[in-house]
Amino acid sequence: MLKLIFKPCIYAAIVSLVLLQSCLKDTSSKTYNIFSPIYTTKAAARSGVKNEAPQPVVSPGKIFVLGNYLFLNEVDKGIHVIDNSNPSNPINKYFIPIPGNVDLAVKGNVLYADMYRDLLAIDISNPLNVQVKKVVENTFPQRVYTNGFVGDTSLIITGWVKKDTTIEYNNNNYYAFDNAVLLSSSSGGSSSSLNAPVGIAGSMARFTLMNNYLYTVTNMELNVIDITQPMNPVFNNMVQVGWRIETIYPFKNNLFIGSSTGMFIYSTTDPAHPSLVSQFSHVTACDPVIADGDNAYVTLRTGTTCAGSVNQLDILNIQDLQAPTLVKSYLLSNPHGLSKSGNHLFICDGAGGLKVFDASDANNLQLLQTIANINAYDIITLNNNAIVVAADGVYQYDYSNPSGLVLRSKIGL
Amino acid sequence: MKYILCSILICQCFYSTAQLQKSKLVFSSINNVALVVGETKNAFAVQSKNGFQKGTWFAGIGSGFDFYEKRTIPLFLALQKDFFNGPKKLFVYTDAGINFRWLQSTDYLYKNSTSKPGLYYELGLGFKVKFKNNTGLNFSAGYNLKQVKETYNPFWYIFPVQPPNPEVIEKYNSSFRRVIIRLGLTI
Repeated sequence: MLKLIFKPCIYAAIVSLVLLQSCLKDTSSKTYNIFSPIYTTKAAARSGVKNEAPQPVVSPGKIFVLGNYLFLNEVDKGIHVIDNSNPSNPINKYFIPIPGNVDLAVKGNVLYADMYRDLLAIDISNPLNVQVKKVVENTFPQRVYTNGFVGDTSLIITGWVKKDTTIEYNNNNYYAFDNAVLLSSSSGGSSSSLNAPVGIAGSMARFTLMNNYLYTVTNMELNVIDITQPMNPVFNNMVQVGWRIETIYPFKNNLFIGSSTGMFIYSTTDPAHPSLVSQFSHVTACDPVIADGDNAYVTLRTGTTCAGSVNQLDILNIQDLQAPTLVKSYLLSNPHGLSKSGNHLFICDGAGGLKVFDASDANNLQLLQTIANINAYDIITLNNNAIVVAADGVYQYDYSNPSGLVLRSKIGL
Repeated sequence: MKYILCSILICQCFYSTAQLQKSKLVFSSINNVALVVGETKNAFAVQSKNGFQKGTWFAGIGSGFDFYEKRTIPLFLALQKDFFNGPKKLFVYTDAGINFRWLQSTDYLYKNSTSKPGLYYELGLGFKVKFKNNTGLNFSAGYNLKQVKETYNPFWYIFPVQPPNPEVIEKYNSSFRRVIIRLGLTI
């Protein structure tokens, strides 16, 4: 019986393999976007930094609040200046085009913003005549393009032309980011006199203001910029912190710095020379940090760029700043920015929405409310008004009842 | 030669049509393991086709696992035509349907990706030996195509502290043309 089967079988297999050999083919195509840069000279870009007509919010980034004004970064494009006197009806007043801008801080009448590698001090005292007063060049040298687009001393990129492209390849090499342009970001910058009002940044900020100094973090360093003369920021010095530094948060003469490997506390007793007080290590993850009197709140999240496998909130006891200790961890979806107001903790949980916790007992956080259906990124809480940056715009909620947030307005798409 | 072959096929068709009218409809299940031979590598696949046999015709639906290059699950309609009577038969078959991606955690595209069904078909020739209890052993070789369509959001920013980024989508469309050699049981 076996003979009956195997003889013809083997013949058939051999014949088919021989005949069809030329038909064996693995093909793969990859369709993706190529972004070709649009260059302009640095001089032209700087002269273009002025007040322009308000523009729609398309890709909101970092946010900064000063008085009744919101300063909202449009990623890599510039800054929206929004009159928020009435949070239920914010008015988009004007737009300041700043190519490559991702971070900002405001003190008094001076707006500090990054323009790729450079720090700009912008006079905003007259909304009809916004002017660049000073450029501190190469403050953020790590802000570079990769894959063939190298920073140039005289040219910067002001935009991108997007084009769909399909390529064929046979080795299924998904690791080939052919011609893709990857933009890395670090940033810094801000300013003013001692008595000038200082604004509030979100927890994802990489700029912060304290006394007469603007502190900015890049991937590895803490930059100290003297802003005793607000319109004339002067780079003071740089402190090596570690790897993959992400955020900076000021609290009581200390700077809480979040990195993907842990939290650093720097003292600004000598503001020109911040010194390391302590460090708390955690698993690899992205981690914005905020602090109050007794505790620091660190959100750890995963993501392609963050690595790691943890999505949680860590609460650290910082009563002894030199030896922070873990109080408790709480599992979350994909936490980003956070803010604390009184006993209430607000966490932007990425696609999980905005979550409000009763944090009177750090050992027993109680979830009060989840606002789903927004991809929340960062938040500032101020006077019962929660300003939430999400993927599709800026939401404002009345949180006088933390269990029942009421939407006041939305700016954006 | 080709005229002779055509004549035999036509005669066989007339003969089987006559047989079809006489024969009963019976459930049949064809289960096989396969060696998949492709341009760059070889792999295994398993398959089960279930349907009804009437005379020399079989029609049914099938599914299985295909581990060539990208793990997939085909779902298809199957048609098979036997030639000659007796315990030993030749047959031709065709399968046509769609192919679903089954992502593994080790796949590069595992995170942030979605897939759409791709085309799946196979044409082949086989040989089968029928035993007494109506079961049979079959062997076949065919030409097979499977398509895989995937969409991936690679999350482009290198640094983690970026605001929400605009969607950047990569679309992958792969086609694998292989020879599949199958050995299986018909019950």
